[in-house]
Amino acid sequence: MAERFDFRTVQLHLTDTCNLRCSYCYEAWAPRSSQVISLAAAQEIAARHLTEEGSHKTVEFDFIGGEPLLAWDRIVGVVDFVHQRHWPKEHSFSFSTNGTLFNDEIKAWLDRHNCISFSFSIDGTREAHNKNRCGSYDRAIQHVPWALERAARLKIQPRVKMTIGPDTVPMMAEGILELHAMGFDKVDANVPYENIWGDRLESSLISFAGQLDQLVDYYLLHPDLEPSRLIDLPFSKLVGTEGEDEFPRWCGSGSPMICYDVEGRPLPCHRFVSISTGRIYEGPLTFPIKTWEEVKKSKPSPCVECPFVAACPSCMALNWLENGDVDRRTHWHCGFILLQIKASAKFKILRLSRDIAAAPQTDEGRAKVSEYQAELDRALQVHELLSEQAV
Amino acid sequence: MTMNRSDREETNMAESADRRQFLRNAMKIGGAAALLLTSASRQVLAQSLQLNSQDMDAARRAQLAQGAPAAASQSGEPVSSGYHGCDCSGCSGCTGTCSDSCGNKCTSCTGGCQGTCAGGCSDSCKGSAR
Repeated sequence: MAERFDFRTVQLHLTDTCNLRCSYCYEAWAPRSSQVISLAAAQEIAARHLTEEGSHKTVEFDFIGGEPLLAWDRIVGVVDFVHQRHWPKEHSFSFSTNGTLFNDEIKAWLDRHNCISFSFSIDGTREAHNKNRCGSYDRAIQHVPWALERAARLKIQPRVKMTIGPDTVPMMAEGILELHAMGFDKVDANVPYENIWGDRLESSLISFAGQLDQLVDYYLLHPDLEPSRLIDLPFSKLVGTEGEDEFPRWCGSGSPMICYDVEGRPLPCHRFVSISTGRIYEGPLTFPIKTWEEVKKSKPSPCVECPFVAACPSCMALNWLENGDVDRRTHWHCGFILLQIKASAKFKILRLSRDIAAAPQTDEGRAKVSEYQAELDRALQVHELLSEQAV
Repeated sequence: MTMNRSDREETNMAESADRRQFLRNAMKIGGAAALLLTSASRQVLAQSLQLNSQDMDAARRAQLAQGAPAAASQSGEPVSSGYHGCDCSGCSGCTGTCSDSCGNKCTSCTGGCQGTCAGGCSDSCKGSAR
């Protein structure tokens, strides 16, 4: 199990319920049940994976929902249970939260448990967040200082996730700057994979491009910050796509991930939960890696011809839901990703040009220049390609 | 991370193969993008995020700057590689966190750089930016 990875990610979908109804939420395909996973089932799942055979050394438990803090007693119950004995596998815990439901009791418990980390969902500025996330900005943001202080004390990177939708694209750069100013060194930001753009696609793309330009300027001025992936997609994956045997995948659905829903049913990942698909998933839990040839033979999406496919984020569950195959990619987000790739090329060109000009005239400096030049050449090729051949 | 001359030559050959493959794929983007993007979207893509003439001049100068891969290879000395796992060789004296620490290369360092950083230093840097 999970031999390709030295870890296993076990998601526990504790509850369907959520106190928010975010504008882009994909958990809208079926009515939310009020059911919460039973503590006995959650503990049994934890024990099973901590003793399962396989070469992986670590089991990463990820509590999700719905809003996992609505099932807080289950989180405590699983963590305390795991801590009561020694297991063959190492383990860690995390959860993703909208941040509105922290209270003194939860904070005190988290302050005593450094084994668990969490990610805040904050969509940038107050206005953007409130548009996307039901006016919940003030309820969430009041807990950020504590979360940052806790992360600093525990020497872990505070995590924040920002989702960009049609209403908030024009506030994207400002939102990321605000989150950095709050104290988040890294901001995970992305557009959804789903078809949420409608007749606002072109206007959103124009706005998105302008926002990316602002981010390129900002991160050039702040090399101490980890650039958002919006302008720093992995160039190392841009080449050698068809030269590799394996068709590239972006996420870990099925391997190393597995998810359990509120009834304890196993799924490849959280995106296969019935409120996210409108159906009961009965397919395989893992998806064998395919070769390029196999993908091309099975009614592929046009993405197989794109040179950027290996660097393009893709949701295997949505691919399955929309196209019946986890490797047949949806492409509603294609224009946004191509703009991100072009912004990443521009950022690399400007940064590497500066670094090369500043390199010292030493053997070490000249060796660095050669490395930078190889990357610079590639970035220039990508930028030129997306400026001319795409039209 | 270090590698010897034969490693370096192998990397260069792989790099060339990568580039050829990349260019072959790149020729296809017109077709792929035509299917996936509307005409207006393709226009946005082509016309946005441009480099100005100053940026292009700086990039051309950088492309022509004197590097030293041949000398390093001929000497048989280990050559620092930015392409294999974690590599903080872009920063010297970094005792804090290197940016992009598990990516291609480190170019800056936060929270404890005592030496120099290729891409600049944070406020807490006690050394100097190259």
